[in-house]
Order: sequence, then structure tokens, then C-alpha cells
Amino acid sequence: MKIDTLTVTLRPRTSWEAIELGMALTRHHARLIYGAWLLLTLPALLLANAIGWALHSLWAAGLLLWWLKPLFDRVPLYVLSRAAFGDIPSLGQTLRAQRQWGGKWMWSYLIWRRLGPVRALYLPVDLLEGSTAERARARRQVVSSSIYGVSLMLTLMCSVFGLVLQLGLLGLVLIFIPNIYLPGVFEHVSAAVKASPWWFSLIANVASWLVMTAVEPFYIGAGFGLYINRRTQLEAWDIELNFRRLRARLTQAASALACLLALGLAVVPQAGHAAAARTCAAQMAQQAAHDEDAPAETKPLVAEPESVQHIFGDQPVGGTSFRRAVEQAYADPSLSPKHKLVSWKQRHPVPEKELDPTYRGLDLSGLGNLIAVIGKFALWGLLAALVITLALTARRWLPWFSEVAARAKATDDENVQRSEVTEQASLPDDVPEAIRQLWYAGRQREALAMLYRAAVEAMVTQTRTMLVPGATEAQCLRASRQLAEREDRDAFARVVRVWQYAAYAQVFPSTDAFESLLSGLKQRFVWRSITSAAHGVAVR
Amino acid sequence: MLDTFREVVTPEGVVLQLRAAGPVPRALAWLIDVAIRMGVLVAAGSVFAVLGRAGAGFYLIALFLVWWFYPVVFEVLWKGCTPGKRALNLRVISGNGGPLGWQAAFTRDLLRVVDMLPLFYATGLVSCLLDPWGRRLGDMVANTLVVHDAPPRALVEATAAPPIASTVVLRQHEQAALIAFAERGPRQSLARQIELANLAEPLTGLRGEAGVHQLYGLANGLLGRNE
Repeated sequence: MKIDTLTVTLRPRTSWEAIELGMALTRHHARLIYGAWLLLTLPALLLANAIGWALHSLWAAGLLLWWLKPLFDRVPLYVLSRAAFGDIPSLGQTLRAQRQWGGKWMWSYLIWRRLGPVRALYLPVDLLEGSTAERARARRQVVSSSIYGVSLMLTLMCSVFGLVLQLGLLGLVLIFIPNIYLPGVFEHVSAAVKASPWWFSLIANVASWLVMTAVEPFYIGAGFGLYINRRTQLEAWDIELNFRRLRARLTQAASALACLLALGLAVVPQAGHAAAARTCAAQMAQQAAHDEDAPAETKPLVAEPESVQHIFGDQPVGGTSFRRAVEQAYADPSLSPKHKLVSWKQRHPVPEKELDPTYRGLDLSGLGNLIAVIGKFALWGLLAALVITLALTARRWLPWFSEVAARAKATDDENVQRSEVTEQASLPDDVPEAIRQLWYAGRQREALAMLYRAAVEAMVTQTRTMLVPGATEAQCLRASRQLAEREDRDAFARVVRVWQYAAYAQVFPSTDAFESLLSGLKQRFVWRSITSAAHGVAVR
Repeated sequence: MLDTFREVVTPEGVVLQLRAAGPVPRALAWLIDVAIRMGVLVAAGSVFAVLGRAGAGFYLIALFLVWWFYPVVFEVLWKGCTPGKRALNLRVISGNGGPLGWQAAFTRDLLRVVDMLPLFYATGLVSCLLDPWGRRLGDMVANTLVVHDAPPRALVEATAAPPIASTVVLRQHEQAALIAFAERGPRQSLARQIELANLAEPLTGLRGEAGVHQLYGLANGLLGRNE
């Protein structure tokens, strides 16, 4: 199992969240799961009903399908177990895998463990870990020890969901029957249920198949989520994943450093050095790709921590030392935890007092009638008071409705003005004239935007500073402190303020103020000489 | 990477991760709430029964109020929790991560009428299974979300060790992994601890148990402990 190819985010989750993760996985791969599921269960449905037909007991077909659920459960389990590790199988692979899995575990699941209450959790342990029966029992106990209750609840809720959907289908039919026909329909249906004709059983079979199709993949997915989460807890998968990435990053960084040294030494161009430089360049490219946090496919330098030979000696797997190592591992107390619970119990339980069953309590209906009369008048009074209060305060609450309507309108996208971001375009040759044109064309916001950009341009050329792409106004102001003259600094600060008022508050200066600002700036900054390409200054 | 978060970006550019809850815990919470309401109504019924026909009237009023306003009142006044949700550690919040208001609470709880169709919340269940954030129709209309509340975090002290300052600049998630190792490592078997520590060999320069202790030391250094 390669943890670094996982496609789900690992973190310590609560068991409930693990269920959500599993269901999200099922939802994510729903197309594949349901494709394979239908290809497998539809023929089974037909076959089961045909057998039921032949045996003159069609109801047995539904029972048979329900009983065979563990067999179908392997479809979602196979897809999820592969897809979670980044290897999404094809439809053909999924179907072939069902045959290759064989019946090793299925006999127990179809016979004596069919009614086991945590099937969704045990199926991954048995089918995916592929150990012997005894080992699997120990593993099941370890995996389920702290989450048995949650998995039990999961099974319970999923069967409730099945029931709810089943009743929902029935209700859906009943909704479409007009009320006056309902009694007649009920009579018909109850008569039909008593007679139990073949079509009734067929409908029931198809309905239960539909419900099973809807719920079962989610149930298995949730169980798989619980399993993954439990393994993450037990084996600290998330820590391992991060350590593996750390290892890859550090070893690659080290090799890149060696690379730089080699490049520095390669003063005389030689064939060998050139080859070294090429490999170095390739490694650097890899390193760069890795720095983008590409998680999965970088593992060229992740060496296995220990060689197989080092651990097991010369003997291959299955030898005595291997078996001893396994037994030693299983003997570890943290793998099979034991709990001791101490609680207090009463030594002589007190017998409960017996109540007289004929005692009906005090007869208070006289008081009840009194309260009823008072209550009746009080309620009418309350209603009257409410109506009067509403009528009197109408002037206060009526405008609320128009406000709500206005707010709904204001959130409409149509009222949002959009203008193109002119970040990349270079400034026109005659900046003041262009700004003035925009201003008098009524596009004041764009005019001030261009004014601000031009001012930043001029400031950058004068101070010879470098601004980061997307520099904020505050950063520009900080850079403008290097301007030589005090008047320049003030003028720049004024531009920034005017622009900020316009950009964030929609407050524009008057035309006079705009003209004086523009003419003042024209003298300060020599705009005609700017020809350099625009810096990436954020214009919002 | 697949996760069950719903990510909301605030205007300040902060990413909030809302841990959406799905059908299983929500259905359980609903069952608990139903049981509580049933209990209250049975108690109210036995009290009102002694008042004869007047009691029946009061009982009907109580039935209406308890059945329809129990979720609204609890969700607004108790930070988005009903007793059932509290038991399952769930919480209703607004879709943008903010608290639930009266309007949204009324919308989502009165739209239960739609989610109930045709019987026993079948519509709500289907919607909850299909939606990536497990919302029923009422949640979609009211723009609300049921989330897993932050669990009462059992504080695990990181293993104490003489702190060591790291010579390598570590990224944030790597620092988090080191501290997680110091917190959860001691619960692993020693062999597994060594296996994990060997993976971090380029950082510590050590293998085996020495590497494990070095990692604990580094984690203590990151936590800013003195001696």
C-alpha cells in the first residue's frame, strides 16, 4: 500500500466524520460504482425473479436478493479501495475483480455472519487485508475495538434509511390518489395483499431492489471511511505521509545543492560535466515541480527505510523467523488492548412500590371547565390584542417589506457595474489628456484608476524601486517615501487618497478638484517621457 | 484531495473550513429530538388530561407549539443546537459560517413540511445523500448548513524531551506533523515509532531509537518548551 498516492485528505477525524468521508467517496465515484452495480444486480434481479416464478413463490426472490447483499457489497468496496489510492479501475476491471476475489470470505458472510451487525466495517478488514482466518479475527477485533458502537449505529441507520425509502415509494403512490378514492383503494389493496397475486410480489421485489441500490453503496462507503480512519489512528498514516514528503523534499534539496556545487566546479566544459549538469537540471525541475506541492508522483529518492534482507535475513517470507516476527508483533499489547471496568451495584435492590391500578386520580373536570372558560376568553382577548397592536404599529413595520424587497433587488447581479481590469495594458502616450477624456466621458472611476496607475508609474521611475506584482496602496505609499522632494510625496499621497475614496467608497472629487489635482500632478511628474511597460499594479 | 469540508472564504481572505454533516448523524439527532418531544407531549398530555375537554384544547396548542417551534427556538437561542444535535455534537450554522438567525431558522424548520414528503423525510434523506454537504431542501432554501462541532479536544500533552532547535527551515504542515508525532507517537508500538522516525532521517540524521528521541526533542523545540 502506498500511502503517498492517497486521494483523500488524512487527518484525525471523529468516527462520524469518517462516515461522511466514506459517503463523499461513494458520491465522488458514483458513476463507476453504480455502473458496475447495475451490471451485476440487474441480471441477479432477473434471475432471482425467474427462479421465484419457476418455484411459484415470487416473494422468495426478494428475500434471496436481500440475502445476497454481501456479494454485491464487494463492488463498491473494490472501487473505493482502489480509487482512494489514486488508481481508479475501469468497469471491466471491477467486474473481473468480483470473480477473482472468489468465495473465500463469502461463504461465512452469506451463511453465519449474514446478520452480523457491523458488516461494512468487517468487509474491508477481511477482503482487503487478505490474511488467514485467525489473523483476520484478531484484526477485526483491533479495528473495531473503539468504533464498534458507531458502526453498529451506521448499520442500524442504513437499514432505517432503507425502510424510509421503501415507505417513501409507497407514499409517493398514495399522494397521487385523490382523497375521495382513498378508502376504495385501500380496500382493493388489502384484498390484493390477502390474495397475494404474482404482480404484487414482483412490484415489492423491484421496489426493494431500488432501495437497496440507493442505500447499499453509501453504507459500504461509510464503512470503508470508518476503516480508513481507524487505520489512520492506529498507524499514524497522516504523520507517515507528511514525513515521507519531508524526506523527499530534504533529499531533493540536498541533491540540488550538490548540483549547484558541481555546476560551480564545471569551469572547463567537459562531456562528463555537461552530462552532470543535464541530470542536475532535470533534478532541479523535479524539485521545482515538487515545491508546487504536487503530492503524489514524486518518489524517486524516497528509499525504503530498511531492506527486506536486513529484517528477515536470508529466509524468504513464510519461513520460521518471519512467523516468529509476526507472532511477536501480534503479542504487542497495544495491538490487542484489554479493558477492565469497575462499577458499583446495590447488594439488596429495593423492591418497587406497587400502584393501585384502579386509582384514577382526582376528578378535576370542574376546575378544568372553569379554566376552559377563562382560557377561551383569554385567547380571544389575546387575538384581539394582537390584531389591534399590528394595526396600530402598521406604520412601523410596513416599510420593512419594501426594505426587504429593495435588498433582494440590490443583490441582483445586474446592478453591479463591471469595468475591465486594465492591469496589463500600457499607459497611453498623453496621459493627462487620456484621463481628462475618460473623466468627461462620465467614466470617472476609470479616470481615477488611470491617474493612480500613472502616478505609481512615475513614482516607480523616479525612485527606481521595485514593486511586487499586486502591490497594495499602502505598499506604494511606503515606496513613495523615497521620493526626493516633499511636494512630490504629498502629491502622490493625495492621489492615493482620492483613488481610495473612489475605489472603496464611490466618493468622487468635484470636477474643479479633479482639474486642480491633474494640473498639479502634470507639473510634478513628467508623464510624457514614460514609455516603459506597465508594472503589475493592482487596479481595483 | 477529497475532503468533507465546505470552504468559505471571508472578505479578508481567510479560509473557513466547515465540516459538513451527513445523513447518519443527522437522522440520529432527529430521532433523539423526536423522543424528547414525545416525552414532553406525553407528560403534558397526562397533566392536561385531568382538566377534561379544556385540557384537550390546551394539549392541542401545546402539541402545535412543541412540534413546530422546538427546533426553531433551540436552534436560534442555543447556538444552533437542539438537544439531539448537542448529543451528536452537531450544530446548525448559516451557509457562510455565521450564526443562525431567526429568519433562516424559521425557513429551514418550516420547510420540513417539504422534506417530510412523501413519508418520514424520504425527500430530505435523498437530498441529504446526494448533496456534497449533506443538506436537505430546507437547508438549501434557507442557506444553512449542519456541521460537526469542534469536538471537545482531549488535550494530549506532547512527550516531554529536552528541546532541540531545528537547523532546517520546516514548513507549517511539517511542523504540525512533528508535533503530532510527539503527541500520538507514544501510543504507537516502538517498532512503528522507529519506522516513522527513520522516514525523517534526512531531518534528524539519526536512525532507530535515537531518531525517535531526536524528533521528540525537535517537537519540544517547536512548542517552545524550556528544558
